[in-house]
Amino acid sequence: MEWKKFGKELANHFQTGVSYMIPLVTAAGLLTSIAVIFGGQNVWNQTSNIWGNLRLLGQTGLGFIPVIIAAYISFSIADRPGLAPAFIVGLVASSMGTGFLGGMLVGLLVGYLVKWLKKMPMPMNLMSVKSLIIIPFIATIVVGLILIYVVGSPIKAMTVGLTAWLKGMSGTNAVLMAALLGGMMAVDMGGPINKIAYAFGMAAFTSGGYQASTAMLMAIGIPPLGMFLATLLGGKRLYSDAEIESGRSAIVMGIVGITEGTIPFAVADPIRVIPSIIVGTSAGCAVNAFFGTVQKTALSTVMAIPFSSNWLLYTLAILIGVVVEALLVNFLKRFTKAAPAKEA
Amino acid sequence: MSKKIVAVTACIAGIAHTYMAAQNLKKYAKKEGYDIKVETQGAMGMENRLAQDEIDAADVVIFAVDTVVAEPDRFEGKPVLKVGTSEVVKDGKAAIDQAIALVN
Repeated sequence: MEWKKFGKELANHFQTGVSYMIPLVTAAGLLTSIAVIFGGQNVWNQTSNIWGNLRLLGQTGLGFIPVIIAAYISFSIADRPGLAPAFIVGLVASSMGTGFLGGMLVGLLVGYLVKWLKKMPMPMNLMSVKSLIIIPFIATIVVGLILIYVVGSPIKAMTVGLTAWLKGMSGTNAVLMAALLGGMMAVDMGGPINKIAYAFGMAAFTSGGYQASTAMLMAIGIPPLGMFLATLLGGKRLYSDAEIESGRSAIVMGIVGITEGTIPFAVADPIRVIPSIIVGTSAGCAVNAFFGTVQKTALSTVMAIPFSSNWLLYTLAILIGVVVEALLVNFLKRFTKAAPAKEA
Repeated sequence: MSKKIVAVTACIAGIAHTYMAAQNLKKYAKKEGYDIKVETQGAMGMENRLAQDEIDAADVVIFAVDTVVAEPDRFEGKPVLKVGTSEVVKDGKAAIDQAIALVN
C-alpha cells in the first residue's frame, strides 16, 4: 500500500517535469526542424546565415531538455529550494551526454535530498543559514559528485545503447513499437499514459530515433480525425446532435494535433470509443512503420505530411488509421447499441 | 448554509484536461447547490487564482491534478480530496460527492 502511494507520488513528480518540458520541446524541435528542412545538412556548426542561427536556437533548446526535466522534477518534490541545485547538476548531466534518463535521475536525487534537508531540525537562529547556504551547497555538491563519479558513466552507456537500439530497429520490431506507441497515445487521449509515450518519443527524437518519434507524433491526430469521420458516416442514426457538433471541432483538433478532441466521445461511450481509437491509431502507426516512412520534425500527424520521407505512403497510413477507427466504432455502435445517446 | 468548495485543476500538457475538469466541477457543484471556486494551473500558469481568504472560508478543497499543485502551502490544514483530472472529466458528480463526504 505504501509502495503504491509512493509510486503514484513519483509519477506525479515526473509528470510535473514533463509538463514544464513540453513548451521547450515544441519550440526547440520546431526551430531545429525548420532549420534543417530549409537550410539542409550544412546548418550544423555554422551561424553565417539565418538557418544556421535557427539551428543554434533549436539545438540549444534541445540540449536543455535534461536540465529542465531535472530542475522541475526536483521543484515538484522539494518546491523552490529544489530548483537551483538541480539546474546546476542537470546542466552537467546534459553536457556529460546522459540525456533524458540522467535528467530524471538528477531531479529525483536533488529533490528528495533537499526535501530531507528541509525537514532536518535546526536551531531557530540558524534557519536562515540553512535555506541560504546549507541546502543549495550540500545538494549541489552531493548529487553533483554522485553524478560525476558514480552514476554518470553507466547512465551515459544506457543512453547510448538505447539510442543505438532505437536507430537500428527494423522490420517486425519497428512495427510492434509503432503499434504500441500508437495505442499508448490513444488510450487516455492526452492523459498520463499518452504523456509517457510522448516523453519516450521525444527522447528518441532528440537522439535521432526518428522511427519512434514519427509513430508517436502520427498518433496524436488520428483519434479525433477518426471520430470526425465516424460522425460523418454514422450521422444522426448513431450520434446525438451534440456529438455531431463535437465531430466538427474534432477535425480541427485532429489537424492541429490535440488528441483531447476525442474526449467528449469517450466520455459519452467509453466502452465502444476507447477500444476503437486504440485499434485505429495502432493500425495507422504500424502501417506507417511497415512502409518505413519517417519524418524528422516535431510536428504532429497532418502538419508533418509535407516533411515526411514519402508523403504519399505517410498520408495513406494516416488514412488507414482514421478509416479503421471510424468503421470499428460505428460497427460497435451499430450492432451493440440501438439508439444514440439519450440527449438525441 | 451551503458548503463552500475550492478546487485546483492541473494536467500535464495544461491545455485540455485542466479546463474540462474545472468546468465539470463547476457544473456539478452548481447542480448540487454548493459554492465553488476553481483555480486552473494549466499551460498559461495560474488562472483564477484563489485568494487566501477564499481558501480559508472553504469547507473542503479538491485537487483534480495529474501533476503537483503549485504553492501547496496555501492549503495547509484544509481537508483535501485528491483525484486525477480524467476521473473528474469522466464523473464530476462523484468528485463533488466524495469531497462533501469528507466533511459531513
